[in-house]
Amino acid sequence: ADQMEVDDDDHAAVVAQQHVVQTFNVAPSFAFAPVDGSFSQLAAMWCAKPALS
Amino acid sequence: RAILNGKLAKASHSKSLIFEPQAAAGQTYADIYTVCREGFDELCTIDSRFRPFAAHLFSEQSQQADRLQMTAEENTVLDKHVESFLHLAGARLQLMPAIKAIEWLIRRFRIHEFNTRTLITCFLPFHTIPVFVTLLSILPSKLPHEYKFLDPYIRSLTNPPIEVIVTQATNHRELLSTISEYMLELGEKKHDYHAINMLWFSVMTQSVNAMIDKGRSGNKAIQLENTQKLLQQVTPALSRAMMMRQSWEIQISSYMPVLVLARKGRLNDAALVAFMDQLVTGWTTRTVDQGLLTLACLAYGRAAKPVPSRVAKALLKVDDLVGKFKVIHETQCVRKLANGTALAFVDRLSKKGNLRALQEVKAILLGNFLDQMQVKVVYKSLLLAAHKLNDELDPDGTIRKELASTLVSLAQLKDKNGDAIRAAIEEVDFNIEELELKLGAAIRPKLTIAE
Repeated sequence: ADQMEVDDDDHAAVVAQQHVVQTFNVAPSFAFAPVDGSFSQLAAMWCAKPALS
Repeated sequence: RAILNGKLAKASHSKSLIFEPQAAAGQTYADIYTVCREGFDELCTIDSRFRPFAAHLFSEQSQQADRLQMTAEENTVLDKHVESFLHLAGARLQLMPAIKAIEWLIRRFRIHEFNTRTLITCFLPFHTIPVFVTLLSILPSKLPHEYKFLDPYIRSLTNPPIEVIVTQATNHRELLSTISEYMLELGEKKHDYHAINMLWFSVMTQSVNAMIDKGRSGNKAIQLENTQKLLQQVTPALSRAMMMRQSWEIQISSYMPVLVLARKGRLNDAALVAFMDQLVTGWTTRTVDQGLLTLACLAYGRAAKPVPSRVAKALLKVDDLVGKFKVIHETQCVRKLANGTALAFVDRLSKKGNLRALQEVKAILLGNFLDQMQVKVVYKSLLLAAHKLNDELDPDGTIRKELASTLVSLAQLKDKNGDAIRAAIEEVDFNIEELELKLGAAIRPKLTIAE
């Protein structure tokens, strides 16, 4: 249990700027799919669970 | 001098979104009005909210209007009409009728000179298409401060890429403020639209991300100061956006920069709590899923303690809260939020005798979100709550009965959580027999088996 705690807290949110840029730059803002889709895509980058060894 | 004035007037008259300068220079206002009014009428058939503008901006009399002859008050009123019209027309800029209608405002009311900031902001979501370059070609030489970065694109008549807008917004707060203020004003009037919302979503998220990275240099004190500055800059807009119940797109767009701040901004507890409070105050059934994920990220940065009481109150109202936790748990971390929620719900159970809170705590414990240490703490707090419940909070004993049944069934779990719970029962430093008598139930598994 304690191991899980440590894993979670050590999990820094490191997301390469280029991934963020790519997510937003696939289309001009007016042609973008609904906000939900981009939110899910970006949230997956920032909130991904740490892989437990 | 008269010749010079005449030349200037002719140059000014030739600024057009639709016509080549030479053709535009030779047009009368009656010619232009005919073309533009047609566009406006078409716009009204698409969206009836444009109709009121027929009374002033697009009236027959508007052909004689000259804002240089108008009083300051008349100009102020005109500016308001122009801004309201652009707020609505922004959503239709890919349609020719909208461009024709705006053409009238440019030709007759010279909005490219008198309402430059609003006009550029209105067109900014469309910065990649040719009409934006046409707009750049007619702008006055003196641009509003936040749009001076467009100068090279005006000179070369090319489209500015999004990276340039993001860099500008990251390094110059005026641009971020202008875009935020414009989008929020639209949202408050329920005039917001996908293109402007997405532009803000993109620029705000990328700028916040870049600003956090930028603030990482220097010693710890400097970094803290940078975080404070960043929060001062972006929090007012993010707060308003999170509370924008009339626009789910704006709300979800605001969650992402908040999420980025939560995950890498090293915010202190007060800032995390403030964001959590605002988020749950504003969310709706349409935005609650994304809101919960953002809340989980905010909770992630906090110590293991109950969620704030306003958050707990809002979470109690969420339909199928534990089901939503499970969806998040599949790919993302919900453990701290689940733990904080369980602790806060136990608190509500003991202070307010809230039965639903008890049911949710049981579901959280059974949902396998928590580690065993957390399970122990939550179970112990349930035992303490059972001690506190009295006839005043629970006059007919329903809650105590339900709590007793919950405590017993949890103590009989056959998994690791069951082990943690049985260990918790052993560890409590109060008389468990007395509690069992009070609840009329055998909580300790051994006694249950003996029965």
